[in-house]
Amino acid sequence: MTLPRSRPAGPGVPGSSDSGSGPDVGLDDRTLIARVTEGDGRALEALYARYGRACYGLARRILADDQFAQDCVQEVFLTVWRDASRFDAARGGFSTWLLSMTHHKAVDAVRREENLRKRRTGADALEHRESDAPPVEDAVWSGMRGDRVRAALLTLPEPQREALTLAYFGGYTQREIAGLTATPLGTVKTRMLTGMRRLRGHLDGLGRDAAGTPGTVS
Amino acid sequence: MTDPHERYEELVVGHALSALEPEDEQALLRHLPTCAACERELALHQETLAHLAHVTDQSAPPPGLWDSIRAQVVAESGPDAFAEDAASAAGNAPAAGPASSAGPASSATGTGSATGTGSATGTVPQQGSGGGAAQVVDLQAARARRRLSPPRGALTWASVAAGVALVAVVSVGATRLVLDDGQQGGLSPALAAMVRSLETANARTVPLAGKNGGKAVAVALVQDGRISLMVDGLAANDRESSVYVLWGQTGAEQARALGTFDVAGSLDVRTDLAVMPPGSPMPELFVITRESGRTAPVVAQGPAVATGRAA
Repeated sequence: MTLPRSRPAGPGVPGSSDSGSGPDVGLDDRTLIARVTEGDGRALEALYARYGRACYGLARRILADDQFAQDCVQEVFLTVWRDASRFDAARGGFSTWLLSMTHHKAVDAVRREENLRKRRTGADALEHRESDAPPVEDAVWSGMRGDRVRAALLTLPEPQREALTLAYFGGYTQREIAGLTATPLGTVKTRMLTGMRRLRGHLDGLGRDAAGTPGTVS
Repeated sequence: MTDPHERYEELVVGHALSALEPEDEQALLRHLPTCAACERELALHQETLAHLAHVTDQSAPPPGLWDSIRAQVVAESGPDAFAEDAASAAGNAPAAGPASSAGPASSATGTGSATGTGSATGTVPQQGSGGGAAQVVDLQAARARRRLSPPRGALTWASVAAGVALVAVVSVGATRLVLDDGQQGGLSPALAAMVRSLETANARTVPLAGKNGGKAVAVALVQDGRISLMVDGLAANDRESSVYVLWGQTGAEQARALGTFDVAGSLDVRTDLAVMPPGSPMPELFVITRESGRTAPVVAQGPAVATGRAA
């Protein structure tokens, strides 16, 4: 079944569940990022309305601190504003680039603030809470995608899932994970590689662009 | 026999997860530009990992977050960034011209596009490979202004606020403007964001506290003889019959009108509201009044709505 495209919130209330009716609503990511490159702040606003929620959720999960998460997301979108031309559509989707950048920044921040490393792992990493619910279409798509990803994670052997979640959501390095799990470093690296390959296999077809372009779900 | 390339495959995964130790990171960064297969693998891993973001709590960010982002963009690029024809305006951005002192109220003057300017403090991870993908954007500035060290903006504000608190009676021309103590207040998130970004450009910022409530409703930016004004909290004025005037006073000299402006929304920026003649001292005291008519009077007639003293 082909899912509807996530409905972006209107630029008037970025990040909110309002549908909005601004001129940039409905434009695809590539068009919007091209406009950002040309200095169009409203295009940035539309991208924020579309992806601010996902970026904030990821940053908050890693940082476990609302204010730090806000700083992180702000830095992400300002970086998009300043260096939008660095995005290369030939190398992947915009949302993949954006979320990858969010992850890098959040991990960097959490490592600088060791005392804030209240990192969530294991079952907690699969926690599914919905608050301040997004619009129905978004909720349908996001919910199915989240369910699919959670299901895929749960198919991984526990050691692989543990290694991936400690790294992705906890911001731990491979060596730290080896210490935490009393596992040889080489084994941790192998578990990550194997786990990622399995995960990719399970999520294949979920959509080329991880957050922005829903694909066909069989 | 183990495939020697498998080591890099493991490193690619670790890199995508931001989980490599520095020595492994460097090894991978040396390898990636030489290996298209690893570049492709990295792109695919990043795509897979981006899906994981959707198992997190998808609460909406606080409403003020976008306000702060927007304020930073405006501070860097001018209000034209959000104009109807922002893209074309950015492509043909005229040099910001000085506003005539005490002249008719003018619209905001743009400062052009800031995309790709050198003001960026972070780096953008490149997709797929690249050294950029390994670069973690610098959040030092964000961290520095948080709990572990005194925020730079807060220090500036605190020192300025101390100056404002001393202002009990301000003389603007023939008018004596009586202002209350304790007018200093916190900056709104939008103003604070502007101040932070502008401070990086070594500009001097002077918060102007409102008469009621004591909260800063504007920030004057003084840089290279140019005075700009950021407003957040002044009431909109009737453009047909009134105008705001920014006054500046140096020492015991009579205050003079630096420029006029209108307020339409809650957050506004007037870049280069005034350009000081070469060699002239910068004002030590700033006052905003709202005047009848569309031009600044010789001496202030209307009520003072905000004031601030340079630290």
